[in-house]
Amino acid sequence: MELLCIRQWISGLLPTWLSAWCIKPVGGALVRQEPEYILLALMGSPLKKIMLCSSEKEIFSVEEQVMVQHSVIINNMIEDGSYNHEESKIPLDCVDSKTLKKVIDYCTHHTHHHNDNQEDLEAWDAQFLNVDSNGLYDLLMAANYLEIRNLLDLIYGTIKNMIKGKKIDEIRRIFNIKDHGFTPEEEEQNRKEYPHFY
Amino acid sequence: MEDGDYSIRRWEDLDIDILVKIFQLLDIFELTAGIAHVCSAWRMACCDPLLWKTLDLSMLKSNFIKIPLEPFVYVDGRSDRKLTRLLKISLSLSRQSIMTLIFHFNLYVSDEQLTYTAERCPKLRRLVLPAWNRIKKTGMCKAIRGWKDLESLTMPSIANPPYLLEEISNHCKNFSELKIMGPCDIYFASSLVAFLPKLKVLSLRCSMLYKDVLIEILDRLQHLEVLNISHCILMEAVPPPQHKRVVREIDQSIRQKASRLREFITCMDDNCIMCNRTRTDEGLVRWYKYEEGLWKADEVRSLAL
Repeated sequence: MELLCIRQWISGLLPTWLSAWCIKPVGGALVRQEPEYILLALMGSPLKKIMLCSSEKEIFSVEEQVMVQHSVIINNMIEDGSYNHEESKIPLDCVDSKTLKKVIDYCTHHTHHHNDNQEDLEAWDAQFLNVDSNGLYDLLMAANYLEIRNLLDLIYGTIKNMIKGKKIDEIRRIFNIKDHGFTPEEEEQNRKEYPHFY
Repeated sequence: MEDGDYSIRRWEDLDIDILVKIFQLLDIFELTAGIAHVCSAWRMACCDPLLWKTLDLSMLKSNFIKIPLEPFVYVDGRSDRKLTRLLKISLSLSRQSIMTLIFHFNLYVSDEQLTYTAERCPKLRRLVLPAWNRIKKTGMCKAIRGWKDLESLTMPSIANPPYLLEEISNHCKNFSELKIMGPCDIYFASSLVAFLPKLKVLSLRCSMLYKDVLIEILDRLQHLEVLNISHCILMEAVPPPQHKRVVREIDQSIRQKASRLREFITCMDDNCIMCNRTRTDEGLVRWYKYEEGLWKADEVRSLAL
């Protein structure tokens, strides 16, 4: 039976008060979830999978609930019905396989371990982001594109810690900024005026 | 495998919204420590108005000593230069977008520093003043003249000369909110009535307040909507030999006058910590003795920091 028909059938049966406590996490925030989906999840297949396709055309199969809980973009695609479970895969042309695998890793871990204590989760996150600056950049782009709020906040915090307290030459080295975009005169003037920042 | 595409990860080309979100996590010292000089894109992000709606310098206090001559306080040169440097960079990056400016009441800002700052925050709406011993009348007036959009002012307890209120009444047409961290006597209340008759919000918390001053305020500030006298020691004048005595509770006539206010906030409780502290400090709370940041609290939401 078509997903949309099941939805309509169920919503006809449900009392409105049920909507009040149907809340789920999406993209790291809490969002009201239509009760029909909750019931479907309870009834049928909570382990339903979806297919994600990297820029290198590699297909990754992942639990629908995992991605829907973390990525606002994927959640919207599934909810508005543009994703057909039988046939389609979600093409992610700006995310390469290596990065996509890591993103899936993050979402999966946080879904399955969301009841872990704060310290353990933070330790896992720290280990997860123990990558070089290229890897960090790619993860940032992917999390931004997929709108994964908690991963984005985590990366922002990591970058902030990489910046704070460092001298300008060191920051340029860490982030491989070769072309600073200032004229030679501007750069010289800045160095003269604020030597202790460099 | 990993090092192949070095050239395509250009951190200097990061989307400006992402850069701004990251820079919002930095405190004012970190933000002004050269981030804007890393590259031109980062400089543009550092100037984003989102970062400069509020400039909070309340963690800065002067290294000073009291002296017997005017201005009665001497600020160590290094401490002064540090503030000047911070102001220079912050005000340059902020590009006139600052709307709220917060100083610590123990920061002894110089006349030049205030003038420099005022010229670069023309859109200022809310000001929490620093200590103003070193600021001359001319400097203060010139600053206020430039703040046409000023709505809210918090003053420390050093002095309450009426010229300040007069200047505000002439130049700040939207001014509506005032907090005084110190005693409000009858002369000050009269100045309020004379120069700020349209005042909407007034906080006089944690100080000594005479009953006749309170009545004057309630009677004459017809546009007042919110009045906060929490933890104040309410006094009234009585015949000698006592001359004055503490009023233990707010009587019906005052409550009647205050009934037109949207919010009349009081606290006169022997068990209240702040009430006790105000009493111990005889109506002029020595905020430096207590927890860091205690002075920032206010029962009026728009005045709390």
